[in-house]
Amino acid sequence: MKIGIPRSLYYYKHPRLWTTFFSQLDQEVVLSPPTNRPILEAAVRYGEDESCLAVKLVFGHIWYLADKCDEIFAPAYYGLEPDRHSCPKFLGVPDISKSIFGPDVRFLRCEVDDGMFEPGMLELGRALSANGRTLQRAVSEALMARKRYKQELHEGYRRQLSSEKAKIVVVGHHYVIHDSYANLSLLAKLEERGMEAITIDSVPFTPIESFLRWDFAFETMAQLEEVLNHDIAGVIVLSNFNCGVDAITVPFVEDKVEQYDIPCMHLILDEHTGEAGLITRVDTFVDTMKMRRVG
Amino acid sequence: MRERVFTLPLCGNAWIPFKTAAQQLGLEVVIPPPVTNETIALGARYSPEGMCLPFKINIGNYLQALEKGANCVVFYTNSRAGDKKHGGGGGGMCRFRHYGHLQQLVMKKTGADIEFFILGEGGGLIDQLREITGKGTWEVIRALRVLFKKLRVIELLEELSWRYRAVEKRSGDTTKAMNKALEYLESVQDFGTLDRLDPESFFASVETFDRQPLRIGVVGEFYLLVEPASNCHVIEMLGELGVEVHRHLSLGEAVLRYPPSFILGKLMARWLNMSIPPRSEIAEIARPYLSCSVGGHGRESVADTIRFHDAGCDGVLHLLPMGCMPEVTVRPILRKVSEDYNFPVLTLSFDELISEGAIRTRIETFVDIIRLRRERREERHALPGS
Repeated sequence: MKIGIPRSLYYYKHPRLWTTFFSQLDQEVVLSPPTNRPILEAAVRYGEDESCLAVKLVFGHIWYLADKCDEIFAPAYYGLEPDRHSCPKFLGVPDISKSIFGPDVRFLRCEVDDGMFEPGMLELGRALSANGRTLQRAVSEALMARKRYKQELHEGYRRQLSSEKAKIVVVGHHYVIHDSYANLSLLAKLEERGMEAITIDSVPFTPIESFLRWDFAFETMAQLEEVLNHDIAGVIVLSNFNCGVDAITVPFVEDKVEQYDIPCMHLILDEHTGEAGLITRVDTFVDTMKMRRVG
Repeated sequence: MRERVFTLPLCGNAWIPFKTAAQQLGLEVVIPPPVTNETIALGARYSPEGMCLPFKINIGNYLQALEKGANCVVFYTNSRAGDKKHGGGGGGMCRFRHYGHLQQLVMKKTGADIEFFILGEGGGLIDQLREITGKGTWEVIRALRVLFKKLRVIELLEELSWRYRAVEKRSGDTTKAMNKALEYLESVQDFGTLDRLDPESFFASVETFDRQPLRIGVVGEFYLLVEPASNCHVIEMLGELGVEVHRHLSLGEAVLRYPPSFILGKLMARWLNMSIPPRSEIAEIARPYLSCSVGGHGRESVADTIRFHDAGCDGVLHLLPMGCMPEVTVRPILRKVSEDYNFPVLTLSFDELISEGAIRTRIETFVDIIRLRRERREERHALPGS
């Protein structure tokens, strides 16, 4: 069976987890390409106009995959720890897709609650009629792949920290930071200007006490605690317009960064953002940081 | 220690029972002035841009209450809606759960010297109230009993007023009767009197036409349903156009669906004297369109749209603050429901920039459409053999 995985939302958090799982089960995986113009156009056409760009984009990717695979994989992450939540907009994706694309588009679902991947994976594997031993191996391989990906991220982070260049922390949802078409290659732009761009998802963290209940918000606050204690030149917060989670989180992020006396810029992007405007702001921000360094 | 003067965010007429309960518990309270465009603009100026309209109105309320001498805010948030997969909803997954803390930060940034009490988070509601008031459990429960009873009476009055307004002979009679009733209620202090009240009797003076008005169900985000100033008074607007309005959720019902604790839930159901469909039933009705909860009252909006259709309403009005996480998620689904059931659904989203004129135009058009639909249907029925 051909299983389509949209390259959006959770894919960017656990890129290897699900691809490994399905290939271990001898299923063909069709991954949608990185966001491109036709996908963005489809996203704008099919997405709900008050959603954030990322949630629109998932419908763009589903549109791309609809006739290229048998089932589309849309996991339901309820939360990655007990009493924590993920964005409720993601949970509705399969149901909304049925309203938009009709009942012919079929979805594979896997529920992940309290960060427990195994129960959902086993259920899904059985539904795909995998035998016990293969399934067990697929689960452990997939979880290993996820762990390895995390380790690689952390190693990259440590390498970046020892770099000579000025370091900028980019805070935002993994699916916003890493979708370079949708964020107009912000990371590359920073690197071109001689900056070391540290993405927040690469920062290892120890959980801290927090009232923030969303996985992203909770993790970000803990990660900031770790990264801001190093020599950081500036922080760029990257949001999608109308992101509900960011509306709550960003004021707390800004408050935190302010306590460390580090310059902070909040960029809000959507499908209408012009590149020239972004370049001006990035240039200005980089210049500001350089001037602060010189004294 | 300074004398604490409490205030709370406005939520329709709910300030009346809250004030009564606060007085019974010996607290000094300042009620913010009614929500106006000025309140909304004030709140929007200090709130993060991306926050939803109810948040901004709350901030506006606090700032205006501050001017009148308040120095403490009491905010209720429901963090118990933790069963994500099966029942999840209420404030559990949407931004509402974080309101209290962010409001605290926003108020701090304005330089205001204001203390926050976030009820319903950590520890039991009753324990928190005991700590704030210094009263015993029994007194707290007694005050809550009057609070919920009064809230229910007011909600019944509101719902009655929407029925009367649609068929009143002299325009404005219902509003007058309603205001008089609320004025009277403000002074009532004991449970027994409230329990014996007949809400219908307050509208005895309203003369009505004997006709079957159009009926519209209102679904959506609950703050917009209960605070008329946040929705440009659409419900009154509909009443004046001769439409009877039913809402899918009142404040009492919203609290009852996701109660602060099991025992309080049971007590509240007694005090409110209302039965609500169990969550499993709501989930079952919504299942063909939405298989899981999306936080807030998103799933309720889907289920209740179908229920309003089945109850023979002429249309549904879906209200949401711009960018509301659960309601934006269900909006494409409501469109599909509307298509499948051949049932008119109008979605209106509100933010601080909305103008009443724009809303009025859309409401009038919507009412025209459903009126035409009904007339056509009646004509068809009148033809022989059709």
